[in-house]
Amino acid sequence: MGFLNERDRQTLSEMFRDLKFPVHLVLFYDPGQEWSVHTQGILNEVVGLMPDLLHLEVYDFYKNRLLAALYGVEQVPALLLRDKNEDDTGIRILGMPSGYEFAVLIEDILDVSTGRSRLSEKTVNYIRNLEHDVLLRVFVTPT
Amino acid sequence: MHQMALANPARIRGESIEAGAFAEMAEAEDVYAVPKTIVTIQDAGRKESFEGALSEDHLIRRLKALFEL
Repeated sequence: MGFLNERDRQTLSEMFRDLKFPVHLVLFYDPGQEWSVHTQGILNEVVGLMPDLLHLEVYDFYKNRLLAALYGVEQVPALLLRDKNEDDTGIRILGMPSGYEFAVLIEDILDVSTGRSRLSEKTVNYIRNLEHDVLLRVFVTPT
Repeated sequence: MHQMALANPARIRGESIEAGAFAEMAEAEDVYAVPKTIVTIQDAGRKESFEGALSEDHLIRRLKALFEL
């Protein structure tokens, strides 16, 4: 079953022309869970549009608990992004990336690949000098 | 959110969570309307939440206030 229609694929292919460096999408999932399987399907189609730069790694959460714990993953489906050096970007998307979350995912891929920041210089300076660990969580719905 | 994690991934984790798929987590955080943002300073045990869209400046102001508690 295809998740992206032809128009989506064309739009994404055009957006992905701006990609610069590789992005690694790491998915922890449960093969027995519908949301997880759909998430894998969506991500497969997305990385398939630019296979030279977008790499998907899929881990069965229940068979890779140690690795999941290292990334702080406690529930699935959970997607994290790693940059060109395969360093953790701190970005997590929990749940199926559809609707609003899909738009977030595409923007994240572009940000990580190009190294761009849409934050003000003042904010970036403040964030870079933080001396505490901060967890920012946003609860959203697909529409 | 994710932009802030990218600016300092060693210190910040930015999670976007689909509330419907993680209903227990949403319930535990009293999520009744979305978007709902929850800021936690993990090594200080401080936490605050905000409902509705949050601008970059607003989020930074609230983060600074949380550090000053």
